[in-house]
Amino acid sequence: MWKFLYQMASPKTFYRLTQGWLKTLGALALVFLVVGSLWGLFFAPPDYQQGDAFRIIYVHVPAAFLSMSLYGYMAFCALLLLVWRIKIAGLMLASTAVIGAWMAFLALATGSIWGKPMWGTWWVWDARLTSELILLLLYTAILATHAAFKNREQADKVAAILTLVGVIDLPIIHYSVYWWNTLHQGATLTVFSKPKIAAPMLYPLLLTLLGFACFSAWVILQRAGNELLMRERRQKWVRQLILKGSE
Amino acid sequence: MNFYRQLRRELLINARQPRVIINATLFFIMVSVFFPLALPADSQMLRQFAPGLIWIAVLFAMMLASERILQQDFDDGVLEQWAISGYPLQRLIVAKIMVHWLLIILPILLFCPILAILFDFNTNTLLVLILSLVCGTPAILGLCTLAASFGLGLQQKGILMALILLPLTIPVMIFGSGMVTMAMDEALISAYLAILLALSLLAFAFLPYAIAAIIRISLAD
Repeated sequence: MWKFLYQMASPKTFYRLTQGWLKTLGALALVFLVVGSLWGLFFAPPDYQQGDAFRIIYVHVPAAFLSMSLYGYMAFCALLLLVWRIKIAGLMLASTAVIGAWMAFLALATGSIWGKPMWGTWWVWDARLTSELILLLLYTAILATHAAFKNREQADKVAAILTLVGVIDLPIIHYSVYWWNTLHQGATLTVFSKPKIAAPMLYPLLLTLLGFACFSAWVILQRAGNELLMRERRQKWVRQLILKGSE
Repeated sequence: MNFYRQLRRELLINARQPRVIINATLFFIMVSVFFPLALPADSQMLRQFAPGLIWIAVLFAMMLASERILQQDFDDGVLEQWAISGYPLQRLIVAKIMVHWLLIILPILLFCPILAILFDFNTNTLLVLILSLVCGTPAILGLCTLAASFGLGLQQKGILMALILLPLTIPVMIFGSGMVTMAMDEALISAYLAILLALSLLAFAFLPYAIAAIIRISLAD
């Protein structure tokens, strides 16, 4: 396994291996998303409390889960870049930030849409919602910082430092927002507490979760592959690839 | 020895060019005086909002001051000399942050009694406000310097700084203004104070390393 990881650090091997996975990943993502969505939208039983409106959960939960796990992955890449100086990790960090930001935005948007009929309001300063909003802001900050530097490798390193500062701050932020919220929240608003989800509803959720994950991986590897070709365009293997592709 | 020389240097520079510090202080005064004018004149409601407003004003003032905190040295090539001097860059950054903190916080603290009159705080609340500012602003200034170091080569860095600062300063803001609110309600502040101090200590201990790393990366152009 270590040999595999070392090989992944080389741009040429990384490109070859990951591009080979793309077709499978794409197909899996398509299958999971389609099956999961159709199952969740049409075949899962309606909720006794919320009726059919709960079905947005099949987009909301995967998006929220991915926004957080992608940030964790970014922190991991940041460590790889800064400590072990693996340039590919910097590439992955930059590619993951975009999709992570979109996931966070999607989670917030679908959450708002879900909240309006359920709670009667588009937004409430709940601890979880506020934390997700802050996560979106962090993603935006990382993207803006990355875009501000002309030199790509410099940009990766600076984004990596910001990611690490953010990941250390994230538990502090979440804890402080939770504290702020529980001390000041008015008792009139009842927060939606997720009931133990029934099996017929759970399976499509797992499928869409897998679908979102595969989709994210697919997009990330696509972006990373393209960015890698751009950065390494003077290398012989890239030129050979272009020549071979244009035959 | 080098550290004290660095402190002296920063103090001298800011004494000869006080405009950054003066700008920040004036901005703070303006914001905290104008905020009540934009809100309904009901003094009870004003007292409820006052801690948050004052803390936001402090945050903005420090953001304003820290935009220039590193830029001049970067433009003059001084940062580059520091980086290659062999002296730990983070210690120089610590000296810079310390001096700026001292020079920014003193006028703000002097203005706090006037704020207490404007917002109708009692003495206990005023003291807690001063304590919260002293304990919380090192973290804020550290984060502002971090944000400034990201924008070293850039023209329009104000928005980038605001974007970076917003999520990172949220804990300090929550606990800082929460502490003053607690004091207004005659409750114990020790928990808030402890966490605020912890945040400042963490920031003071670790952010200089991050700032030094970013400066080195920015210089490695």
